[in-house]
Amino acid sequence: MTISTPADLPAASEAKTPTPRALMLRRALEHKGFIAGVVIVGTLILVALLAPWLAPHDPFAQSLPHRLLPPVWAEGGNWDYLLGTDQVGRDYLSRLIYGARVSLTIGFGAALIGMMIGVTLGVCAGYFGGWVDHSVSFLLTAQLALPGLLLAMALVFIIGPSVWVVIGIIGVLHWTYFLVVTRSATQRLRSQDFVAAARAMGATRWQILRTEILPNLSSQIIVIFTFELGISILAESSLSFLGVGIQPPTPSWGLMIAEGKQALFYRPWLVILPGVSLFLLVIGANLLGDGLRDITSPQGRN
Amino acid sequence: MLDKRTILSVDDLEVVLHTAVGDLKAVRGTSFDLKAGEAIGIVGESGSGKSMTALALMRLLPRVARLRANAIALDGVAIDTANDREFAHSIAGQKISMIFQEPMTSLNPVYSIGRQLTEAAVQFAGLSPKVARARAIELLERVGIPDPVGRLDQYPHQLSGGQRQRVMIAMALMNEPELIIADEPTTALDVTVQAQIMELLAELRREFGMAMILITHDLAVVASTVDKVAVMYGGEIVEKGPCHEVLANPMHPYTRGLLACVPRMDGTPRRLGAIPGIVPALLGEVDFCVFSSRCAHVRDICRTQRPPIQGDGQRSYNCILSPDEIDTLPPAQPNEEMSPPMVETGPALIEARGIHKFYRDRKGLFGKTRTLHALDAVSLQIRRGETFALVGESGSGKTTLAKILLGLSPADGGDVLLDGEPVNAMDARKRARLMQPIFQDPYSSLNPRHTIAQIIARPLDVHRIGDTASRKQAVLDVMTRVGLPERVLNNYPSQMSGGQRQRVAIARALIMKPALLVCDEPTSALDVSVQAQILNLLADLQQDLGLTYLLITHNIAVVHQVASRIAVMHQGRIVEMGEARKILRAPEHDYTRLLLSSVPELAAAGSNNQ
Amino acid sequence: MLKYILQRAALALAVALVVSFATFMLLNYATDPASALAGEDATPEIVEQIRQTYGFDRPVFVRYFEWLGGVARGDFGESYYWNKDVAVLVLERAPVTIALALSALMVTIVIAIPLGAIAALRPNSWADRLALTFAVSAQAIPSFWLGLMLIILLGVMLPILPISGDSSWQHFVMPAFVLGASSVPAVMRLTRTGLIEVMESDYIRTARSKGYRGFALLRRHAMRNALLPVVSVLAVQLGQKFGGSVITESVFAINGLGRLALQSILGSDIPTVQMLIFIFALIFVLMNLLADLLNAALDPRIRIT
Repeated sequence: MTISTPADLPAASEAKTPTPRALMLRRALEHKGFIAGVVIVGTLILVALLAPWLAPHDPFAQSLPHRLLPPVWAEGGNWDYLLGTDQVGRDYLSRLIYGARVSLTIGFGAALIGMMIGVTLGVCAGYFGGWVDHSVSFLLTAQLALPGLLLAMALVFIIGPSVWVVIGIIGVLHWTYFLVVTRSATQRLRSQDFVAAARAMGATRWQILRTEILPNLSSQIIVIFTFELGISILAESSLSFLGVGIQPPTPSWGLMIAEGKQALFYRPWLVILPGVSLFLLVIGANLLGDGLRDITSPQGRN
Repeated sequence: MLDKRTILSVDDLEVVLHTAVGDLKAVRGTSFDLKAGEAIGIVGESGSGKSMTALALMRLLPRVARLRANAIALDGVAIDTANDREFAHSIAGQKISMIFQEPMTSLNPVYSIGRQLTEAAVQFAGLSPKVARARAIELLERVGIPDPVGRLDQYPHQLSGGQRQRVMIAMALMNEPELIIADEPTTALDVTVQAQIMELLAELRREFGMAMILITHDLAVVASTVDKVAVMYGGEIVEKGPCHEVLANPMHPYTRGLLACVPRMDGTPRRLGAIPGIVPALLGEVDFCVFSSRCAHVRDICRTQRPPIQGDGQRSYNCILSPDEIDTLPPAQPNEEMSPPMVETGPALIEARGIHKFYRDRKGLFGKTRTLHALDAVSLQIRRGETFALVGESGSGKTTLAKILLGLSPADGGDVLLDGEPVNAMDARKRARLMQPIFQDPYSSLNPRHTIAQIIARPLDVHRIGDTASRKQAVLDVMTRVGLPERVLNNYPSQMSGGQRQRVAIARALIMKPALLVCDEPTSALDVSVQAQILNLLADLQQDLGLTYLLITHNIAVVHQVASRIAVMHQGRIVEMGEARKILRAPEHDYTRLLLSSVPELAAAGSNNQ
Repeated sequence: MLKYILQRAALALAVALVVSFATFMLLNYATDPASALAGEDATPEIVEQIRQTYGFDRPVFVRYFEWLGGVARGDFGESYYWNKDVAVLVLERAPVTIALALSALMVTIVIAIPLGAIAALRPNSWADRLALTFAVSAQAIPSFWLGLMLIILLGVMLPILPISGDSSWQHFVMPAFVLGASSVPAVMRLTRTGLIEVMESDYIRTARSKGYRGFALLRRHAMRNALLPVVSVLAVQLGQKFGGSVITESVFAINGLGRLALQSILGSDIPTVQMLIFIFALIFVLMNLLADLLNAALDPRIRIT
């Protein structure tokens, strides 16, 4: 055997090139928005999980003598009810804590359903192209044309509102973002030479999808998932606010805003507090999504 | 000849890039002069700083870059001190024009050719729209665009790449500049178009008396075009002088190494020289010789001190070695003949019989179908042990044919027989054991999510061959074969250089111990010094393992270096096929002749400029 | 060019038909409109009676084609809840919503495009960061809550704007802002990325080499390319404003199509809901068509093939 020409990189400079994972971790630690997102969403997930231990009162227990108490810092506030009480005397802090459960359950559930539909359609359309792609594109246009909120309202109302129905309907109506992104990413990946190499070595379609395509989609899917988490949470709150989502007495932040609306002019915190909770959770999810996108693809920012 | 006035003088130009890890001096201490009507070639591999130099002169540097110079003077007037607005309105596009590498994207797709040609002349040079239009028509005619009046109302997407580059040239000439900077003007074009564009530039330069800076990676293009050459490496000019002297008698070890890496078109091919290693990262102060990390003749002092500049203003190089010492150095290119293997008889390893391929292109849902005959009755036979080269320009159908031969895309007619069996009906494992591809772009041929070990072992994985231990051993074996060190096993592709990635791709192809490698432009994405390493590696592997190669390429010099037999493709047909030496020496088909006459040659340096 | 228009129009028609069919099936078949109409406490007999009275017992395909035939003739059916012709109902309510949607679109354009352009001109500067922070925050605010906050702030604390109704232009200021704000993040981001991408393109470098800088460069070479995708998105956003009017009109008590939709849903008025979903989808499809045509007019690569 002739001695091959030596490889063209000396060992010394090689050690300086970090692995993709190490680079990602370094970018994550330097990304303020990402860290803020992790902290906000992480805290709220913990709050939701630990609700029974964190909530000072039973969120459903009504107490007419204690109705419409203001938060502790306002005049007439009371340390027993840190954030005051609502029209029927339920502890507002406890209801807000339990509300996080509802929002996160619906957000994760709906985003998961949307992800399954959208990713499946997107990968198929992108990988197979041709008539599959044409049909999926048509389906996409049709879905985009439907007024989603209106249809969701009508369906929830007719089928009958429950947490599972709300999750299902929001999920089934929110897959287009997953589809659009995975479709174009799959198209791009499919034309890469490593896919051609896999085909030339005799890999089956399934092997190619699983080993070559999906690992390269994962970071984008996670990014969209976090955005869709926020979007689904907002959709649930809109439905509940309009009275065609989560039904009383379940504590949902959107529903709490609707209930507090009657007292808007003289007890505004009933509206402000659940709104701020919603805002925090959704901005946390969005910061997380933005951060993940910057971290995973530093070249293609925004 | 009279000493002409100096049109451009650059003294100690420096470009600093502010990066996250620190300041990077991408161009350092660059100085050169250019006389009226003279042409200088700035040559270098990627990362040498040649494009940065051009962009700096035009003030087109990216946002993160800062420019500093002792002095830059255009026709005796300092231009580095002008503020940006003055520079933009009275120098850019008026006294200095620029032509870019990518004609397909360098024109604005939403505005007409006419508007793009005339706007700056009207706005900044004060021409009336009518005069500007007349001049645009005249120039379009001059650069060889048919029907120039009609073209003014057309849009870039209606023109071919070569035509767009002609439009770019016409646009650069609108204000009769004194200096034209051409940044890789033909790199994106086919070789026949390249020859026409380079000739056009040379003619126009004489006609308008313009000076030119030609930025290129291609030594052969420089050889036939310019008067002087400056060789850049690692952000510095390491050698400069009259073109023919530098190319015929290089002094700097880098120039010597680089020239030894270029496949020649004349004589019997010899083993190419090689420059080991890659350009080092040059963060912070560079107080050593930039080439010291790769130089075969490095001395201790080179690593701690800047090399002296030897020679005069005309001809100089930056190296510790004196001209006498350089004379005694061994040649950079080993004197080892590399005749491509000739196989006269024997059964075909792969055979194509009357392959047809049509592309049907339908615009929208209800549009008419246009049919393009991409391959028209293509037949060929490749014998075991030879290197068969398929040569053609873009659109000739060579890559389509490669896909069909690999069984990646179905033919619309004809058969492909691999070892006597139809390739499409063959068992996938058997096919993979006979034939493997190597692709052009090493950045796209490796899955960024897998480690090098996973990538190389992938074929074994797919076919469930062997256990973990035997797979690892097999991976290590092929890595040794292709010259990859064991320590890169767990690296990801993003941690490897282009040449190393191509070695990984070759290792992956070899792990199934195939008989045939189908190499689609295996070195076109690589720098010439890395190309030399890969071509040498392929030759060694062929000798050791008795491999058969199908090489698909547009690069005639590479063909001359490695091919036993060739087939020339043009518009979906094989127009000429036979023994490589015979066809390259005495082509019979008109197209082959045109193709061969278009190839720029290093040897032209001597005759053209003396 | 004509072929392109016809193709797009045919696609729009196909989408409208598929959407109307899907909606019809979902509202009439996947669910039981009779029991919804009868209410929760109704006996099976009453439900059955309603089913027969309204013809819900007949095959759904037959009813769909009857409905479609009616739409083609301009007969949109009778509202169960309002006991009125649906077409009359829609025509009465439409002008308010159209005015609201158009003014909301203006709000979006006026805020989002300049903000996106300023951010894009100096990526990663403080202005860019501020604009992005604004976008992230705006995306996270539920629009009904934003409406309520504005009511407290501008209607109650500094009473400068009316808080409900639609009788004067002042009534539209807050609703249009709320409805328009929801599209600002998306449009702003698109303008920003589009412009950044264009400014880094080869043809901008060419223009710079010809001496173009600053505002002239932006106006004469970058803006048109960057706005091509924005045009499509604006059309889509305008289409979505109609759907979004449900929330805004309910917060500000505006009697438009959105409020009609909510009232009809709560009143189980399927013909009206069906018609509104169809109309909103049709508006969306037409807006998309308009965007395609605008793009063709602006982009010679589509216009001349």
